[in-house]
Amino acid sequence: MALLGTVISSNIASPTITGSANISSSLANAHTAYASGGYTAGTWYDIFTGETGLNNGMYIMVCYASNFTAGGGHYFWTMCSVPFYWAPTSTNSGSTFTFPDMLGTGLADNGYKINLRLKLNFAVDGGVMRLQMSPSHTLTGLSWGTNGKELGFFLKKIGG
Amino acid sequence: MKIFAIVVDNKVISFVTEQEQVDELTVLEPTYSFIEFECPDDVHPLPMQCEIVDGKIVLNLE
Repeated sequence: MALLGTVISSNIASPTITGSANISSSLANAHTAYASGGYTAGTWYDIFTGETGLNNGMYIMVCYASNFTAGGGHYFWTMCSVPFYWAPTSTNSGSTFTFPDMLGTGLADNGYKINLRLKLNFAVDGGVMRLQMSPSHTLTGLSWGTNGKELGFFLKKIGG
Repeated sequence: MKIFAIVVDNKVISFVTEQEQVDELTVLEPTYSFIEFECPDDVHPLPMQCEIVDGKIVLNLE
């Protein structure tokens, strides 16, 4: 039995993939943020907000963590979020959307996690949407470029 | 190099390298304790490779 609804398949553009798809290219990089200093386990920290100047679109967050001499357990570990849509409008909502665990690959993670969430605010609280991170364990002395003390976030735009 | 192992419930969970990190974690995570040990410069031990014997860290890099 067919589901009732409007046929939209005719509106879907045929996927055309030509050439190489390199997510590390400058074309895909939308925003980069490096963690510096200390971050307490279970506390949420802004990576970027509606004031960062990002455009509408589909994004994924790639996170590189190698923080084994900063209180963490990631050893040369790269994680990737599920896709999400970012609309840089003002907000009037108290909703929070917590991401599923990022999928990771690399040397070792030791069960440590970097959690992500989208946090909206009511207008009276500023009306700004935020993409936030929270470490599963307290990190200290983070410094990008220093072996064992690295935590970086690389936002990739994957669609309009 | 000298490394501080972070110990919780008599198990190593992670590492730091600076006394300032130890000082900060001591305030933020009162359940943490620390054991200083000497680690080869080219080794990045996993927590599970560290055994605590008589209050000292013994590396098992097998």
